[in-house]
Amino acid sequence: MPLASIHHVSYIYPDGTAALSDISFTIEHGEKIALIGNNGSGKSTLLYLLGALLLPSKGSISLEGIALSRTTKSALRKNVGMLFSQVEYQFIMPDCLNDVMLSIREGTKEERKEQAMQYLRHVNLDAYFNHNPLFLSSGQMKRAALASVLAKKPALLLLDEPLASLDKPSSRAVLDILTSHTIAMLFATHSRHAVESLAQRVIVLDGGCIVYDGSPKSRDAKKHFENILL
Amino acid sequence: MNAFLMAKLLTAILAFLFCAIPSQMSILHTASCLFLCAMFIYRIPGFHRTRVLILVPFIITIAGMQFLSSSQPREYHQIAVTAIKIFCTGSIVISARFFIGTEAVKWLAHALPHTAGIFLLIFLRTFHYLFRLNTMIIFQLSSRLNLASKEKYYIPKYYSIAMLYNQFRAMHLYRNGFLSRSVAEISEPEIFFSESSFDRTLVLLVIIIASLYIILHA
Repeated sequence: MPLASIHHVSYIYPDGTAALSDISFTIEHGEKIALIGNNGSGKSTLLYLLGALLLPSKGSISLEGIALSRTTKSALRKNVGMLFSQVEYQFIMPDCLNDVMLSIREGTKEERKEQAMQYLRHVNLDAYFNHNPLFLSSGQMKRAALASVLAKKPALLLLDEPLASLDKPSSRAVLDILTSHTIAMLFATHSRHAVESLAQRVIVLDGGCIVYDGSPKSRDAKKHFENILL
Repeated sequence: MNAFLMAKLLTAILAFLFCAIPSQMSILHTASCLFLCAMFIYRIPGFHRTRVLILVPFIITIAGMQFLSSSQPREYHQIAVTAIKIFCTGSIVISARFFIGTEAVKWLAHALPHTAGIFLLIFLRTFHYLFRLNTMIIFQLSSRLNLASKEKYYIPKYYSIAMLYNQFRAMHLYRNGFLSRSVAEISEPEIFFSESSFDRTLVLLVIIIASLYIILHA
């Protein structure tokens, strides 16, 4: 059984804008998929739908066998980790350590603290454990948010522009962290480097429809994203 | 909870009440309030002190409304008292964030019932964004408007529009960020204690001034 399945999904915003129309694909366990498309092609909307932040106008979405609906959205959110393009809005606690600890649900305070420190060490931010994440640099902020999301141990990781506004060393650091995990990932990106080093499969969106779904190495794929990636 | 942290929390509350409650303010009381307020503002590190400026448009609005609605002869004394009160209490609230630190907030969020704790965290985060937004908008306006010309009169108009739109967008993004974290409960936080001699002096000063005030009025 696939980890997630998206079946004939369409989404229309309340103002009548059609963001997605008749999207269907599946995500297997451990699969790393790049979501590519021009601005406004529906990438973020698709991520919001999979993150159970929006409900589809038509079609169905299921994760680990649970269908997304008004009653199941909270349960689905627990199994999905989401890294937004503007990460500053996803911090809750006033310091990195407590923000990561908030995502860890099991164990005593000491155990959760130790686990949180491990996640911070993993993203190379253990020295900043007592810093306010909002005062970190954009690269560090992204890694701190990633630590909090990974600490949730999600079945599916959704990343909206994970390398946006990052310099080369920071991009490499984020990609190294993502490569070291076997969690299934769907990441929206405009970075050729991210696609080449991380993606096992690419989905190209154009005007809310899937125009390509397959290997990133095929000639057909390159033809589709040649003018999109940086 | 650390005793000194508790003392700082109570000091901030005491200083706030000292400036907020009395309806008639003598010269001595006003001077004490302004002195405490200056001490609290001094506690704010570096450029963060500009945050106090957010109180100025607020004071002007309230004082302006009070001026327009007051009967003849104008109650200038009452208007001045209100302005001083808003400035003192507002700056104590703003600087309390640096004086008490985030540690008391973490402790309070954990101690309160779950929903109230979450609300407190969201509220403070929103407040924090408001201050960041304030700085950002001021930078933006300064770079786009010629402050030496008549364009400066458009500042209040653009400032309010930018503030409102950005705040609504921030709320939408914050909602998404918060829901995606799906926090089940606020578990016991890790609190980092710190003490400085200035904080100890400030605690003592507030206690002395408030005690003297109570003794003089007893």
